[in-house]
Amino acid sequence: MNKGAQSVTEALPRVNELRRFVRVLLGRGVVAFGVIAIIATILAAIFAPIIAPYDPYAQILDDVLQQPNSQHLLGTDSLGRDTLSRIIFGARIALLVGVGTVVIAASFGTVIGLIAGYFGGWIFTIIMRFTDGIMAIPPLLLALVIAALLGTGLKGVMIAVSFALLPGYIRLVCGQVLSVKENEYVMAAHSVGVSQIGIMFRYILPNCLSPLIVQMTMMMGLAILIEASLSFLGLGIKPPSAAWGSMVYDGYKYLVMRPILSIAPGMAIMVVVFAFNMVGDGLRDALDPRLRGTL
Amino acid sequence: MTTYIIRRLMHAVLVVLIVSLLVFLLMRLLPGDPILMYVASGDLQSISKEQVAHLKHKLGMDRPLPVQYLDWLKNAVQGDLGKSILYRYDVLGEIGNRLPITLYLGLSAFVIGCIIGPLLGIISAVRRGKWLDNLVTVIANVGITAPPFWLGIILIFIFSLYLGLLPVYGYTSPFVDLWKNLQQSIMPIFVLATFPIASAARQTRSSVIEVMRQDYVRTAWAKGLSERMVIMRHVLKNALMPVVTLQGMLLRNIIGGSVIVETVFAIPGMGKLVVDGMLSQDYTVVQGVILVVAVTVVVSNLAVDILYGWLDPRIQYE
Repeated sequence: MNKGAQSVTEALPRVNELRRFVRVLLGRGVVAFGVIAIIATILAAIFAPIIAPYDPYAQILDDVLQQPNSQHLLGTDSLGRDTLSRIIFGARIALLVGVGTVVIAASFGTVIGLIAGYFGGWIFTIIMRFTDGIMAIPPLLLALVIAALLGTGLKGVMIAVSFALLPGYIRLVCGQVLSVKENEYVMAAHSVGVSQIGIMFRYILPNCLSPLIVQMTMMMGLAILIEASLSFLGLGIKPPSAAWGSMVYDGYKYLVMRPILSIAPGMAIMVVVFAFNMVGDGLRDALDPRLRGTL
Repeated sequence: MTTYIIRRLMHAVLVVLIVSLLVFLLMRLLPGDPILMYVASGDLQSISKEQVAHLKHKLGMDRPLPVQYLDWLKNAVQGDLGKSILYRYDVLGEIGNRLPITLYLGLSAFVIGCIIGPLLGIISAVRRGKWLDNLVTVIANVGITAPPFWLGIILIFIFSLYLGLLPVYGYTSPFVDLWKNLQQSIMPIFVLATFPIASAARQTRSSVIEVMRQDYVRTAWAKGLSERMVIMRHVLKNALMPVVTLQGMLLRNIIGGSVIVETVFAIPGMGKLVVDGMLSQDYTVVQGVILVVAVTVVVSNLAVDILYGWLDPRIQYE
């Protein structure tokens, strides 16, 4: 048996998995753009106090509603705050919500989905019917209701968005588990006496990871979009904080006079969501075992 | 086929029941006391504990939760979703006034999405790698990422404020003034349709490309059929199957999007009702709207499932 396995490895040229992964991922221009945009957003969020030309909360009442000019590249809002600085600081909330809620939802969703798929039977039926129930409510509407009930603010928004994303992960992981658990190595693990938790996390979960990673990247864009929508409706991040969604709403009142106040933060949302979607697309190609060795 | 439909029907009823339970629990278990809202809405600032207890008793909120739930459910089944806490109007009646507006805009967007989306996807797949394909891909990707509220604002800026072609916002019934209705509805419908068009185009493109690789398509080419015949007869029938399953999700998305669109364009539909209800913490209204939305989604999913079972004979006897 060992001999056969050896000759197979010799017959195939060695492929550097990491290098192949990077090459496939960055092979498409839009995906490379997405990666760069996400890195830029992360850097902007971390170094916001250094990069931003002004304090995002400083109200300079002499400079209210200025046109874009050399001092204020994107102008100022109705309280004299610098739009560009607020957009840079807004990246913090967008990333925090985008990444944070996805991690929360994916963690809970993975565990629940693993349990449902692994044990099957009535546990599966109860969990999946409840998931169907949550999925019958549009995610935005669900997030809206939970955010409003918990009270506006970062914590409420994060719980609300996580809950809205949760059923997607339960379904995804559960479906994966159902197919993975039929594999022979799972039965082999059973027969050598690995505990059920050990089988679930050491043998089944690693084989569900690639679709999970793709889904998580895609959902980061959606999470940012839901947060922005909640903030736009006045049920998300509270006003003085610089959140892109509420900036679009604030600017809406001055649309005739200073359209840039709405357009600029909206562009920021769009670029970041687009970037996450494209990277998700790229990851799907790069992690697809059928495409291994291509490109 | 009949057993399939019956089974789907039972599943749908079960899901609606679960949604009703979820909505009820959500409203009762999360912080925020409807009684306090009820009191704060009036001019009773300092209210005694006895008065609160009396009020709770009067509204039936001092009973155990299961009793309250069953009572609410019983009334809901009989068409009574309660009264608005703040304004005392009948919730179902108000929904009845507003649902047609939301459905009119939503279904128009849905139909447009169902026609234009797959069409763009097919064109894109057939001309794969050409400039037309690239153009469609860019449009589709922008379409699924553009925040709907922002898209609405941009449209208002361009077509209403800058060009002065369309009214900024508002809604007029088509039975009152059809021309005005069309002018006011075109932008909201466009915003609602953007996501369905974009995601249907993406899905159609990839599934058409997948089907074009199949052996039977090569056979169709080999026997000398024209491009039109190959695409129409052999590719489309099979490629559009996965697109059909997407429709349920798209409809759910449109209903969710109507919350945003109705707020941006000040349209008195269900979405506006639920946002206003949420901002004023009018729980009975929110509870009622979500239940009606969930029933709408479940029924449309049921329709998609049955349509799929009818289109794909392999599903029927599963």
